[in-house]
Amino acid sequence: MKREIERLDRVLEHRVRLAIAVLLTRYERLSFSRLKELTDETDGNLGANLRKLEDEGYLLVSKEFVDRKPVSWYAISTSGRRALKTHVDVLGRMIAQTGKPARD
Amino acid sequence: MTDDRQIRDDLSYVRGVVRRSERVDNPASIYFLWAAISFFGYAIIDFQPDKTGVYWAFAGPIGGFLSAVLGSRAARRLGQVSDRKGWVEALHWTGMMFAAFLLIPLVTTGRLATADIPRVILLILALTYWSAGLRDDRRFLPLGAVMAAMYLFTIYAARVPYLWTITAAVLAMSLAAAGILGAARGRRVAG
Repeated sequence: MKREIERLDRVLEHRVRLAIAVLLTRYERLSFSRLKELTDETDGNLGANLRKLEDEGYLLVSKEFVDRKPVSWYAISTSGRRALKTHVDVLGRMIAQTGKPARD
Repeated sequence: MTDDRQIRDDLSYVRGVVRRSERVDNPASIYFLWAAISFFGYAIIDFQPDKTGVYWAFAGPIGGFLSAVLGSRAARRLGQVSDRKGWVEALHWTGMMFAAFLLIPLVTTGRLATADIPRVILLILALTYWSAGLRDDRRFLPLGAVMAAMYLFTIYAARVPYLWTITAAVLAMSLAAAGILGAARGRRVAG
């Protein structure tokens, strides 16, 4: 179990960042305002979490105008997708181990 | 320290966020568009039956294209773009059009009377709307039921004058009502 915990992705350990990554594997692009609505986070919190994912290279950001309003679009990068898959696999194994006698 | 309970709480939060993202209604404009197309497309059978095929040959694909444009614009305005969902929608509705197209061999080989084509298409529509309701927007479910009821109506009330105009009016009103209800719900959610 301890070894599995060490394999978790530190960036994706935060539930808002995990939710953003999961959402972006389901949708090609999500806007900042839609992510705010879905995660129910403040502008500041969401912005900080998005920046963290962006700094890690997990997100691709683009800006454009929709109905004359500037919109920031977020998409998941290949490395973000890979990191999420590894993270979710580890989580799955950890949950499966729950209830089993600990070996570590 | 990450523990089991924390992981479960986090996953439950993620599940909630994903569920919220799935609660998206189709734009009302698509319902209004098909209310208009269906009204003329079914009423025409009473007045210009020989023009029905030509009408649908153009109105069907044009309506499909406009629906895709309206759906894509609504997704961009919402801030949630899914190419995959777009493809699933396109395959679902073009599949219905293809099924209607496959009725042609039945007619040309004399196994289906030309006058029965609109009835069979109503049945195909009912099934298509029903399955769209199960998969996507719940407003399609009652529409599928209305179409199935109208299919039976056109069989058991075949002698009613202006049968197809009545059918067209019921279909158009149901589609428009679904659009109005969805728009009202969207306003409630927004504010």
